[in-house]
Amino acid sequence: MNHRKVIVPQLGAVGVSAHETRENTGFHVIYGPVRAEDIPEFMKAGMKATAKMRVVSFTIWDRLKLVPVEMAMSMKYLLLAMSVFLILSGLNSKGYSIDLAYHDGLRSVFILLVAYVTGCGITPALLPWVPFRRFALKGLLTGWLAGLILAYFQLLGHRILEINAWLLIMGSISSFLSMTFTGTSTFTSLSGVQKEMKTAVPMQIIMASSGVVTWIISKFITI
Amino acid sequence: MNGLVYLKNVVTLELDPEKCNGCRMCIIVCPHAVFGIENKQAVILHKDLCMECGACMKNCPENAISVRSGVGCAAGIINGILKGTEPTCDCSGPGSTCC
Repeated sequence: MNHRKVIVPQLGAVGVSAHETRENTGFHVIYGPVRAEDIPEFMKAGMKATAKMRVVSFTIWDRLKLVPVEMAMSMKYLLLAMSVFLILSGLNSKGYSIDLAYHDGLRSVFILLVAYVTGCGITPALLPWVPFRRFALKGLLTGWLAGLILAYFQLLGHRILEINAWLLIMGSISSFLSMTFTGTSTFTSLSGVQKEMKTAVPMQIIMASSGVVTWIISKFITI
Repeated sequence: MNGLVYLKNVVTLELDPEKCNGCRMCIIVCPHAVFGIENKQAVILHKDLCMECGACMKNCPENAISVRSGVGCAAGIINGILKGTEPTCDCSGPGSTCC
């Protein structure tokens, strides 16, 4: 080997210290571009990266590619929630009805699926266009919009109590799942996420639990 | 940054202009173009774009930059609270299902 140069991907810089590497090994660290597709141009320019090559992007296509990852991560919780709602759907003032569990249960499963897709897919896809900087608020908004669309088509039931219960549940699910997209996004900071979570997590817990309680109560009374 | 900016005034990034020697390493490693050069010295141009990755601090030969670095990841923060560690997105640990 007749050189003492090592090219490190730019995003590797969080774990590599160029000056320490040089002091300890004699190797001169050169940071390459962020994206591998820019390597040929980087080499052609004599190992010089343009300003554009140095910056992380997060296009709608980048975000959509990550949606399946988000969905897979929370899939088991979705299935668990769906099973619980399917079973509880049979409850009514007269006791338990398998028929009701089937009809209301399948509707509940569908509503949960919509909230899940909204939080995992719709918020990330529309990220720059959804108002608010906090991801949890973005998710609350998209969750409620999805809920209102379902309510318009009478899919949240016919009673005020049940509709309100679903809006609370859908809002909390979409808010939480959108908030977890901070880990996938390329521009959120630890300090920012911690600040956001301090208010968002209690809000989500209160909304989800009061939503579930309201939903169960709505099975027994006809408001 | 096409509208993708996170919360304002929360980032812990600090630059000590007294120590800076103008080597530009922070400009090279920063993936969000937070730094710029004025009068042969680094300056923080867009603090709110910082994601606290810590690359600039690690690569500053004069130790002029300080930032509390870590993962900006809600699941990672929950993970850290549950395990009693720093926020981590590390999936290599046994039984971990985080990102």
